[in-house]
Amino acid sequence: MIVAESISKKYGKYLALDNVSLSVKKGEVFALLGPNGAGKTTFVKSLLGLVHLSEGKLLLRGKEVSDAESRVGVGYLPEKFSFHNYYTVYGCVEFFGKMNGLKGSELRDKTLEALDKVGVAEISTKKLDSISKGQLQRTGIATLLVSDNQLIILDEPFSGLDPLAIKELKDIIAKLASDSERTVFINSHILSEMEKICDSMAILDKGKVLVSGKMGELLSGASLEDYFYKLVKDV
Amino acid sequence: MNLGIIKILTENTIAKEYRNKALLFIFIFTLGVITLSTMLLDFINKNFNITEGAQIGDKGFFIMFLAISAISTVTSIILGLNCIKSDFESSSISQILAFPIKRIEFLIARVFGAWIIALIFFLFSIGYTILMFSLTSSGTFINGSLFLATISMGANMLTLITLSAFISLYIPKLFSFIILMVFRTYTAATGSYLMSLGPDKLFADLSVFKVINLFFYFFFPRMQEMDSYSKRFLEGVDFDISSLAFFGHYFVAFVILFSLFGLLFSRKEI
Repeated sequence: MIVAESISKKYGKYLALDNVSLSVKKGEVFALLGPNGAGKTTFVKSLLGLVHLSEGKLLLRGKEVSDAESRVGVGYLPEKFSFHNYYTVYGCVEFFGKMNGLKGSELRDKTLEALDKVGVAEISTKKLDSISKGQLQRTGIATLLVSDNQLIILDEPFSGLDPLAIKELKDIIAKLASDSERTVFINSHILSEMEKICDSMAILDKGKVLVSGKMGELLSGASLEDYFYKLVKDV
Repeated sequence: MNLGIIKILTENTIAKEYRNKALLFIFIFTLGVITLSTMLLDFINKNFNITEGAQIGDKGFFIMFLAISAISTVTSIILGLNCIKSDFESSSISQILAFPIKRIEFLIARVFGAWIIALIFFLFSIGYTILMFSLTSSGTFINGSLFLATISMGANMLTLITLSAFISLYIPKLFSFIILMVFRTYTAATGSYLMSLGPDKLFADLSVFKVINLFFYFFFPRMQEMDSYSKRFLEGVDFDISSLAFFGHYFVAFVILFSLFGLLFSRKEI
């Protein structure tokens, strides 16, 4: 689903990604972990064609990321979901549905279903600038659920959420991941949540991949927090 | 080209831009100007015993068309400056570009959507003027000349929106607005001057400034000349086949401008 072959990204003299190679298989729940400034967001932006690679090859759904077609069936939730404030919660989710090709009654039904799943159906008529941060993030998740995305990319999804919202979001991700056809790519620095929901991971630091592989095999009984701390500290 | 996505994004642009407060203010201001102008015309007709009302109405309508055109220049710049910049300001740009859409398709949708709003603004103002003038004058205002003048004005609006959207990516809005107003005035003045020189003197006595002026004259759509076509159409001059060279140049220069915009935007990192 995602293949990175020796990719590098430079911002001026700063090397944000340094010869990164990794692959994410279909149906996996993959965590890209690393401390702040490790290059995780740059990797996600590269995946979505928002920044251009300096070197290497990056494939999404078997196509070069520079090809817009590679993003068909891909849902993306940024760290802080925000959209044009004049939209209502319903209108915003509906817009994402429309952009993914939904129409008519199917669009309406799926929009309502998505709003219901993330618990924002009651505030569906409220405008985006009048809802809380947690509700906004849930609306963002609803934009992913409205269409049948085969790959979901979550950029720091737990950032800034309260414990209750984190628990709810974790449950939603677990539900999303339960579909064996769906791939979930999570980019995060909050380790405690990742261990429970991800099959595979890669740890990135200073733009380099330190390790990559199956979560269970890499940890071999240790906690992710201890493993991560040791690995990053040793570097 | 993914026409389905372009259509949805164009609708989204229209929904986004018609809420623009500056635009709303200018719209109300324009309606006020039209109403006051009509009242003034009515006052002159009634109090100064002018019997040839149709003539005055025609002249008044011509002046109002020019005034609305000038206001439309401002609205086009405002719409152009906002149509893409607001996606950056609301941080929604990364989410929109994460859809399977090419950047050029995004640009087309944003610029086209803003142009539709600018055209509606223009047509509504002209329509209101016709309505008001028809109350005080016996002139006939809706004709082929008006149609041609509107098309040529529409072309200028599209060019200005494209240019504004382009500049807004690199320069803050207020400065962009000032730069564009100055640029519009500057190219209008130099364009008129170069046009008056005629082909034989165009490349004579070359100086640095003249070379710059010639660059804009040849590689940018000639908005001033398009304006003068609008006026000529309104004055009853028919479309002349010899004008095709000008319209052809305008079209090619616009395509080059838009392509350059597309190229630079596709290289922009979000």
